Amino acid sequence: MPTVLREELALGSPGSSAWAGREQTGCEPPFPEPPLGAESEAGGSFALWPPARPVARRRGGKIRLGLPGRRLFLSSRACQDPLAVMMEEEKGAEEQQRFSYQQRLKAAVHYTVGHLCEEVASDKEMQFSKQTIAAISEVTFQQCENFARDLEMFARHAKRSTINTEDVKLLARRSNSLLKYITEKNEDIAKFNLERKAKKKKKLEDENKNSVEPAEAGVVESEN
Amino acid sequence: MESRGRVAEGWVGSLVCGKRERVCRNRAGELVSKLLHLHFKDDKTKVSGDALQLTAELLKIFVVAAIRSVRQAQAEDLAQVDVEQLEKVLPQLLLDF
Repeated sequence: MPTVLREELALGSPGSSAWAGREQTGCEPPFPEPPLGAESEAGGSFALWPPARPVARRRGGKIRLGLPGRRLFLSSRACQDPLAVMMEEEKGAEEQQRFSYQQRLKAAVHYTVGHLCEEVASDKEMQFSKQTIAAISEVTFQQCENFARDLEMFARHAKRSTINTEDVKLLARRSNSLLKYITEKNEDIAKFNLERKAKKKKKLEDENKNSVEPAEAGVVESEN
Repeated sequence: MESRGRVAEGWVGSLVCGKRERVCRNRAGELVSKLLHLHFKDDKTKVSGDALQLTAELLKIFVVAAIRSVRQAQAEDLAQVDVEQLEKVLPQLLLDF
């Protein structure tokens, strides 16, 4: 876990040291390390970049949350093909952006998992270690990726572009009790939505009636 | 911190609080929606509202199942639950999902 990244996360996330537990799992960064070269601050023009110099490599490089696209990597081929290098760095910047966005989402998941843990822990007076919470949130994040891919595939298989509740039910097929629970929840949600729609419709009708009556009264008065 | 707290609260609010669920339904799927869209290969893929809620429910069950099974794997009454308990329950958890 790059030190800088940990500091950046510490700005916002509670118990950011929990991510320290991740080092043991040996997850790879989502994008490959930049090969060589200096790290330059806020990109100036190509001509002003300092020449490549060896710098202590950190996995994933320096990442600033909220300042996407500011990272520029100089490779040793910098002087040869400026256009190719610029495209490389655009891709690098995109990767950086995506990575920092991913980190923010992971932090949000971590926060939510922490909340749920506290809820369960308060019942039984048992504390969860930070590593455990971090591990659970990491697993949840990975599982969410699987869910997303599967859901997309299911929808595409049905020649649809919108994901349905049927797709989600298909996701939950592995365990019978899970499938039953999800099906029940689906019916509850559908019922609740129908009720809400009926209420909204009724409200609209009432409002229309109320607005029509004073209008009629006004017309009658003007006629008189 | 503010925006992240809000986004996270949306998921938490809809799932943790039984009664408030109806009120904060609009914020229910914000985090889940972002999580899903992050991993879609096709940009045109959309998620219906009901499917979003169901997915949020599914994820919540996943987390709660993980937490409960970890707690049960805690045979002795230790003060803290460690990663070792999670390692014991993880295979079955993943097979069920």
